Amino acid sequence: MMMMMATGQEEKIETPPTFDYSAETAGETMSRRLFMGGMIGVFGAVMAAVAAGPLLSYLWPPKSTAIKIDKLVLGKVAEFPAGTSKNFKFGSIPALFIHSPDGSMHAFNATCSHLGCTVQYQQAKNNIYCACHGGTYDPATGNVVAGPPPEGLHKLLASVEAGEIVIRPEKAGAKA
Amino acid sequence: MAFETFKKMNLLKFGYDWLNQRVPLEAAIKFATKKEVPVHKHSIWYYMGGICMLFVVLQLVTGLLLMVHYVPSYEGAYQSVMAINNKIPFGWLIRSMHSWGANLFIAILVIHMFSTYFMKAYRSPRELTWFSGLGLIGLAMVFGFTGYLLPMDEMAFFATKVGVDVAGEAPFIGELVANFVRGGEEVGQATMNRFFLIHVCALPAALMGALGLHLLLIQIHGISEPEYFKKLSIKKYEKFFPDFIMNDMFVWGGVTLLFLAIVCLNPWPLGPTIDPSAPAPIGIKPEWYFLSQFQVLKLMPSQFLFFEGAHVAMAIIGAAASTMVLIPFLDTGKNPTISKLATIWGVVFLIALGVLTYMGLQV
Repeated sequence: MMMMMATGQEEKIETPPTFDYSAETAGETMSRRLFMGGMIGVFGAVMAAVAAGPLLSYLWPPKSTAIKIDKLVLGKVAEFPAGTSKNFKFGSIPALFIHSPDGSMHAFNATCSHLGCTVQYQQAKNNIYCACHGGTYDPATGNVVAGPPPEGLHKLLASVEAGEIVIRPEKAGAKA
Repeated sequence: MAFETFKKMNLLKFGYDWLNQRVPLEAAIKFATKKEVPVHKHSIWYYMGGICMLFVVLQLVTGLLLMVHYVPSYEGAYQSVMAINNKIPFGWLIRSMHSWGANLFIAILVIHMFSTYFMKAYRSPRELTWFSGLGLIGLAMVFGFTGYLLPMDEMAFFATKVGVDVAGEAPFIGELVANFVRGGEEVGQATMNRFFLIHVCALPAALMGALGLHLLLIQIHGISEPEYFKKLSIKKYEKFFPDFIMNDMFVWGGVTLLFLAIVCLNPWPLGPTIDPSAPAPIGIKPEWYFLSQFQVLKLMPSQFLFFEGAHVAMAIIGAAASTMVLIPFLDTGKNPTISKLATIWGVVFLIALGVLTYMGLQV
């Protein structure tokens, strides 16, 4: 006002030119705001993917922690009279040895094929039983007799060598 | 000057004013006094949420206290729990409170869930409140599962083995997930590390988030009213603060006394230590809240039509659980027939849970 009085002229205040960001004005199909938003989203996704790799590989367990063996001496034959059994570890896997009442000897991977519980020999019923969900197997073949297991038990080889019970994988060198 | 003011005012008022100048305390109190709770014949179910909160606090406190003496190692965990039970003064009490608390917390959560289900509290606009509640139940069950391993007794070992193997049966990614959770092919130290970390860090953080959201949504939408109550011409309400909260405090007191009586009269047992080569003990069963799923897995034959029995069992469990997720979208309150069907489904669901759990107990 003072300036106007001094100069006697109405001063024109110039406003800076405004920039219209809308796509319509620019004749573009995408506004800058949308483009920037999209780019931030893409950048975020890429960064998350880049971070996920090392994080997952850090958290991922080692490929195999299993201990594999080719032979195990369970004990002297005299320690296992007919009708007895023993749960033991064959390397990392739980295993079951059975000296049947008929004198035959059998050994199995004792992992129930249903949901991985360890099975046991029931002398009174002469069967292999899983206490978790009631799966029952034949003690001579390992085949499923009753209950939910989808397949039989994997066999191991049980033999007598120099008065000792020796357990081996079913095929020499095969994974137990 | 400040000291003179302090002398003139009583301590409580000074504290109130000091806080009020820094946080909107007055606004919060105004909100609490404005908030109303409907009074009707089903009002008793409104207390379940508060009891759940009480158990959250009890679990956090007793969990923190257990960590003072607990050793999270495959070799040392059992011995440390044994010491907590037998040597450390009142250790048995803290451990029993934590174990009993976990079970009762889930029991109250289930009651809370079904009471809100039958009051149709899942309907719009409370869908997210319902989902956050389901999330809290899910978290509580994972809390139970991961905590079950930590004493490293026989039952803990096999329950973990079976639980993780159930996850391993999921199509395509099952084995990967099972390996990841176990930290290897066997239940061992790596499993222990993971379960401990999940139990004491990841899950409490997730619980705080889900619980915070749940409580926030309840404040936003207010307490839900049953359908019949909405239609009444004269409705009765009570003030949340101080009336309802006062009743809540009496309920908390009563529940705490009952809880302590249960804990003291039946201290939580500790089974024999694990023997990785030993078979699963006869009579093994999971905690009661997994018994219904356990029983479905047990009842299913090895082969069902063209599918493996365990896969069918898991599909049935998954489908039943997903109805609880879908219910807000199915029963929106617009169709009375669907509303009735939803109520019937809730009853069927509850009976099935009860019968399967009972069958699971009869091992």
